[in-house]
Amino acid sequence: MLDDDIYEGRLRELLRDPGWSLSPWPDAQARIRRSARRQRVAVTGLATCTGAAAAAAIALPLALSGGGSQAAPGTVPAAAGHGTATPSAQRHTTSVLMPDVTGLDLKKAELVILSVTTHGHITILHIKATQTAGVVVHQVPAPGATVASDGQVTLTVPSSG
Amino acid sequence: MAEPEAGRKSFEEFAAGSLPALLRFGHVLTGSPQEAEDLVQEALAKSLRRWRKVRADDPVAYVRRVMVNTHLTRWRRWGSRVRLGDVPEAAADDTLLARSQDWDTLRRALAQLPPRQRAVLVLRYLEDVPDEAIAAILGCRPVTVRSQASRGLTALRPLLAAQTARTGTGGNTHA
Repeated sequence: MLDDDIYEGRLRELLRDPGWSLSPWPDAQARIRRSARRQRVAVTGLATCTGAAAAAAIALPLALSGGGSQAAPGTVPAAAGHGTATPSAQRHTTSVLMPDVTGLDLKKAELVILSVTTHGHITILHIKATQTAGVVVHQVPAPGATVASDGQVTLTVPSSG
Repeated sequence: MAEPEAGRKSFEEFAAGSLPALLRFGHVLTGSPQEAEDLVQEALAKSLRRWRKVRADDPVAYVRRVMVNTHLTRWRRWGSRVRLGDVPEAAADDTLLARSQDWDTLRRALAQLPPRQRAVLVLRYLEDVPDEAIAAILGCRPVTVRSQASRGLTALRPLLAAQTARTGTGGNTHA
């Protein structure tokens, strides 16, 4: 026990040796502020990356399932890699009510939509799903919604295999 | 505008006043002057970013805690980059040289200890931090701190015994 006290005292003495001292920086404030700025940038960058990753994680499944926001006329959504678009020939726009085509065969659904939205664009999203292949399982805009006659319609169809 | 200005001034005063002690603490903790400077710079920058909250509490304790945790995290991530050699069995007659060698011997001996054990010894015997506070810094129980300190002392015992026998002193601190 006495030995322990002596050794502890000796350790205290050695730890407080001037050999451990380092010269303070002449430009300490500038150095600390630069470091703080770098930390802020790093934290902001990390937050931005996390936000972007989270947004992508939310948006991608939505886009793939056809639930994404309606794209501008004449464009095919970037995420809809399997989509096909039917461009319109005229630019005369009226408002029409969106028919319910879910559960219909794709060909029939296209005919129904084109009969109502004569100049509309139809984007077809092919997804891998357990439902019957070739039958519309989801549509945007929803049935009953008002849509421009040259507006964009997105149909989601399970593909075989 | 007065509040940020006062905050800036109080931080500058704190940094200027505590820098030598923090650098020494970092040096003992890491064993490397360069790592100590990096560690102090990083910890002070972190405390600057949260200065309003930090200064209301105990700034020195906060900076020390950041330094210890940053050092342990780095060590876990990269391992010890500075490997010093074995403890030499040198003895010298000249007092100054002997003191310098004692210090160097301890430096090398500390480098052989696991980082948490070393942090416990440094906080306990250099900074006189109570075991409960050390436990809070390291996120463990006080009994763990005591066992780590005991193991660390045991590891250093041959070195301390040899030096104590040679100098015949046990508790005097250098000026």
